[in-house]
Amino acid sequence: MADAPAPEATPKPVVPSPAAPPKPAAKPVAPPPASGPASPTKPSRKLTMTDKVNLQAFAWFESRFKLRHYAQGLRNFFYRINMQFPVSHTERYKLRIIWYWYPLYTLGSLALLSFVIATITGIILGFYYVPSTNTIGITCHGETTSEAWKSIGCKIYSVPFGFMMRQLHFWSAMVMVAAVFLHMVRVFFTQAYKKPRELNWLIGVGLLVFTLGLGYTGYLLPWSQLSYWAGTIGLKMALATPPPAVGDWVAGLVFGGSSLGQDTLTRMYLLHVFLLPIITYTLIGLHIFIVWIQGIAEPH
Amino acid sequence: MAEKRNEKPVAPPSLVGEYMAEVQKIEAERRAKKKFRIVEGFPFWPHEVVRDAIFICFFTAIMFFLGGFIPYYLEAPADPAGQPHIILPDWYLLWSYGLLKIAHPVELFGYTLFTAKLWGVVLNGLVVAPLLVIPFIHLGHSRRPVEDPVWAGLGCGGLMLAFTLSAYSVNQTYREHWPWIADFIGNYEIDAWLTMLLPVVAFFIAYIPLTWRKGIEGYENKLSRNYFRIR
Ligand code: HEM
Repeated sequence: MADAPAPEATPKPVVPSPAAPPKPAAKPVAPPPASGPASPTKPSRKLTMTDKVNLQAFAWFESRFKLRHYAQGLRNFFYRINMQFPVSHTERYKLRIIWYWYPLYTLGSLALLSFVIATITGIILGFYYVPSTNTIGITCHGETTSEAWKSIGCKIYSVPFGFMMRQLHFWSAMVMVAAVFLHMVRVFFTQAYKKPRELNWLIGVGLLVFTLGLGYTGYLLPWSQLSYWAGTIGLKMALATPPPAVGDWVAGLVFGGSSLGQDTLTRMYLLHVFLLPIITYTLIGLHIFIVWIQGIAEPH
Repeated sequence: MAEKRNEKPVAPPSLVGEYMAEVQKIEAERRAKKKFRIVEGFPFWPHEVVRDAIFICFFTAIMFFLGGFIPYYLEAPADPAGQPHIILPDWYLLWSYGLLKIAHPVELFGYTLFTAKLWGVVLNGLVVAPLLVIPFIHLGHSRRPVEDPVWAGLGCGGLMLAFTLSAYSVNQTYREHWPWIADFIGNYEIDAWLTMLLPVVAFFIAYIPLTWRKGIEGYENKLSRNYFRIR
């Protein structure tokens, strides 16, 4: 712990509140008495039966979960939001020009919202989807199809709200890609990537790549004509990565070999429902945490 | 032990500790001297979150609306033997597909540096790589497009490039659908030239008027003054 920064070094809030706020109550943790276990103080009135039961129950929880710490945290939180709420940015800095781009500052949250909707509907779709290219004895609408195609083309449409789940999943994906891209455009044009936000821009570029990756891997899952031939383009690009040995390796890693098949679908499935979402959620958490501590870049 | 834990830990002198002390000293001096300093941000909570909450409600509804009213149909099952007339990735990857399509073999003194396929892949990297260096090469305090017309122009050029590359990737389709476009533009060669020239035009369309505005109003020093204040 030798390198721990001095506790006074915690940064000031980004915008100091205008009126001196009521100080949140002092830390509830009273130093315990110097010697021996704490002796119980006399209650101020005689305890009824109900009081006793309530107290016992409370003490039971309190001694196990230290509820008062959380209660105090909630109270501080409440004070904090009340302190800052009424001051608008425009008032605070007596702005003479109107920054009419503020609606565009919500695009980041829109990206998060659509990702959450896609996650929820995606989990429900996952209950029915089968990642298999097997076609033996599988028909749907009288045609021979793969199991993957059937699970989307026939099975999901036959469960209640299945159609709506797929629709929502598709549209939230579209909105997410558009929102992430436009969010990046707004950050670029407001030049919000400058010091001290360089790192957050880099995380953002990662998020953009992972969002496109989620879209691409999802596009392959129904194993339809479009999926198959889009997969072919991707495979060719992977194989063309210089030098050839690396290209083969990348194709083997991502597409499961140099031709499309069951291995491709398995990998796309794993990437789409497990790996990419986990990485993306982690990065989004970090991204928004950094925005939280740095504040939104000031437009001049 | 119990008393010890509630005491403020005293950090033994260390490089980090000294650095923190120095930073605090400098900041305190600045504040004492009432030097102006740039306000770096307004709070995410609640300013941004309140605004976002309103939009989120609206867009949740919009997504249900889209999902309910614009159906997305499934294509025919995959058929490795029957390549469709037109293969396309989803719309947000068209720019990448456009790069693959526009790439020619790169030759130098009769020696092939890149085959067309390889150059297409390399171009994809070359388009994304600048994103990684932007924050480190664009310095200064400007925050609005008008304060820095060059970068605003670059942004517009980049947007236009994404658009023209996407358009180039589907040029066969739109020429078949709307023959008048083919009549108007001419042959496919011209498509490729437009793809590369329109972004340059977009740069100047943004750059020239912004420079003119900046010249009139002198933003950096006058209008922004309210934002430079002591904290
Ligand atoms: C899944 C994708 C993303 C999510 C959920 C997300 C979320 C957010 C949110 C909620 C904010 C707060 C301000 C705002 O909404 O505008 C923000 C700010 C920011 N984002 Fe993103 N973002 C994503 C992708 C990106 C991308 C692709 C970039 C750029 C390459 C980026 C760069 C930034 C930067 C630099 C800020 C700070 C802006 C400022 O302080 O004004 N983000 N992000």
